[in-house]
Amino acid sequence: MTAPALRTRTRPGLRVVAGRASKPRLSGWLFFSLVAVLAFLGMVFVRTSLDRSTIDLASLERNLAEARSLNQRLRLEIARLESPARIAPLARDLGMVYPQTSQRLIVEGVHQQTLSDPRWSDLNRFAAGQLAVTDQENQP
Amino acid sequence: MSARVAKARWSEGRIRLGLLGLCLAVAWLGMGIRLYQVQVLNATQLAEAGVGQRRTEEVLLPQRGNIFDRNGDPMAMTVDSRSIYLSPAEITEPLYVAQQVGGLLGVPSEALLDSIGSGEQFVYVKRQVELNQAEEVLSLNLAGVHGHEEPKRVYPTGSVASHVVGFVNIDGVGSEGIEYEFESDLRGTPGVFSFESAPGGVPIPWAPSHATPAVPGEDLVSTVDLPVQYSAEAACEETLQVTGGTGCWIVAMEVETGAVLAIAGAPAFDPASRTSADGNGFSNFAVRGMYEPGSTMKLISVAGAIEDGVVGPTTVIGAVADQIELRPGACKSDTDEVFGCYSDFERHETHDMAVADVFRQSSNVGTIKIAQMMTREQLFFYLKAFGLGQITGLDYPGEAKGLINLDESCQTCPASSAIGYGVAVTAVQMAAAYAAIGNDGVWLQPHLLSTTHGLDGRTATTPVASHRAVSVETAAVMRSLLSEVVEAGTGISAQVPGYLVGGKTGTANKLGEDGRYTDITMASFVGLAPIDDPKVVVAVVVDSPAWEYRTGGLAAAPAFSTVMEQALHRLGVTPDAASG
Repeated sequence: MTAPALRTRTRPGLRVVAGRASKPRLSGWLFFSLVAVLAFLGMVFVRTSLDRSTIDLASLERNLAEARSLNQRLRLEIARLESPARIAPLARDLGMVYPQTSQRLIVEGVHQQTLSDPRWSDLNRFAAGQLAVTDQENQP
Repeated sequence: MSARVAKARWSEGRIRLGLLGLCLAVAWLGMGIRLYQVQVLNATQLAEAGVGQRRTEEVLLPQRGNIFDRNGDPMAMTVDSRSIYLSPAEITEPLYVAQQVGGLLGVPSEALLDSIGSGEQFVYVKRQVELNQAEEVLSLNLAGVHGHEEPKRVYPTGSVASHVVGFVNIDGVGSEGIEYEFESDLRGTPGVFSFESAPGGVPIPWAPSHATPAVPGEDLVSTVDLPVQYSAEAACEETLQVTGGTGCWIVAMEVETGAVLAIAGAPAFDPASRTSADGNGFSNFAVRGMYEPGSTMKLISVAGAIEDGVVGPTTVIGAVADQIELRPGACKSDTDEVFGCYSDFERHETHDMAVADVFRQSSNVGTIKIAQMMTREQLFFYLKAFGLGQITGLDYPGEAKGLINLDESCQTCPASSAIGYGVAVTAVQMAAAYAAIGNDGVWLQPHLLSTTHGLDGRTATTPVASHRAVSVETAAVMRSLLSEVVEAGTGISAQVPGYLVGGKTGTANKLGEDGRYTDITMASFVGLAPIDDPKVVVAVVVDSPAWEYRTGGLAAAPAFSTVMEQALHRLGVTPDAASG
């Protein structure tokens, strides 16, 4: 027994046509990769910026606290320097004294103090011995 | 055939495989159930527990309010500081640490070494250290040496106004004076900063955090004028040096407002270190100390008598001797066993005296005779009207209300009260009483606080109580009588260059421990200026001056003159035209 010979059947009208070479579809992957990389870099940039801002903010807050502290110390120093307990002895050492005589500037017609209060006239005259004692009805 | 198939189906290997599969299935089921529990059923609680483990809360201490004088100069401030502490367990070189830290902070290294070896987990080396000093210590980077921020109360004026301002304790809580009285206003409200942290306390970036800021305490503006305060304290110190007294107290007030310009005492103390000359100097005698006022009380007795028409200033009191006996035999007993014998300061012939002369010469006998014309009720009414026997309402802790003996069974009390014996007053009460005369008869509540300033800009002013003690006319007459005391009476040393002054001296013998009066005196002077339109009242009390200075005119009047002059200058009061 011999095996039947293989026969190739050809169909008329059919032929082998070389297909178009499929181009590698890189552009989509490239675009996706680019976007991904850009997004990653963007995220890194944003996070870095935020971190930098945080660091800057912390630094500013530290500077503010230091400035406040310095301000406090300076205010305290001013208060200590202005204390009468410090200034008075220094003034004495410099020979400064309180004014011994009062100096008045009286502007005519503006304000003049007088002691001519009518309520006291009797009493003042009594004290000066110019008024006799008359009010004795309340004696016991 | 079927037996062989069954045998093959339940072979040992298949059973094992089946059991393994079952176990895996049970395990996956268990994990699934557990996952469901963790992720669904207990999700909230577990999430909170997780956050709780990471969450750290820091208390934000509020800034304590400042205290200013009336000119805006600070009397008490709060500044940043650090407290240095040790964690002994972390210390590897105890001796080195003790020497280095102790040396920089001024703490004995031996004591520090003992603390390190005490087994404690936490030891304070020094609290509230100034920042630069703390930085010096912490920059050594010694293991186990740490610091934390803690506000510190400072008093830039030192001992000036120490009795007014008071002080806080080490934890910053008011313990005396204004610091204590206005603790709730000054303290502020603590805040909280809540954040998530990694082990070691390092904050986790971007983790949620929440801050409730601390609300600073309110700033207080006192009525005190620091230069007048300093002047009063310096005058007190000088008075003690000159007179040899054991204590001196001065109160200066604005007549028209009741605002206290100064409350000074000697010896004073430094509120920062809380040291004083005798260790008992914290207490403010001017507010809490009571004394028998002596003749300064005659202002109230005579004013009451004039107000009720019992006498007038020119009424003649007949037969005023230099001694009066209110209880039989009182003046015959030298041992003072029977109260009721009162004498004038100087011996004199019996003669008639006008009320004005009685007041000017400070006659005890004459004043008692005037008081005898009044009923007990009349006299005590005016003592009360002038604010005695009750607290004045001064915004200061622990004010004494004084003593008035209203007991009907006390026969000598009205007479003795009229001349300032058998009653107890405070210097603040006497200043307020005299201020009423200067204020046309209206008594005003003394006060130390002017305004409070909140963080929100809110400003509150202290309300002041008032009532009429005597009429305008009576007040005017009394001012005239007071001026005569200084012009030609017992208070000549109280004169102030450029101003007309009125005032009254007081000299009261002090009671001994045996209940009998001694020769030791409480000398005082209370006065007003300018007397035609008073702006300032000053009360000076000197405790136990030497014999040669035992009267109010000698011991207290000179200090009055000094303080009054300074106060009048500070307030810009125009000098009197009729005075030098």
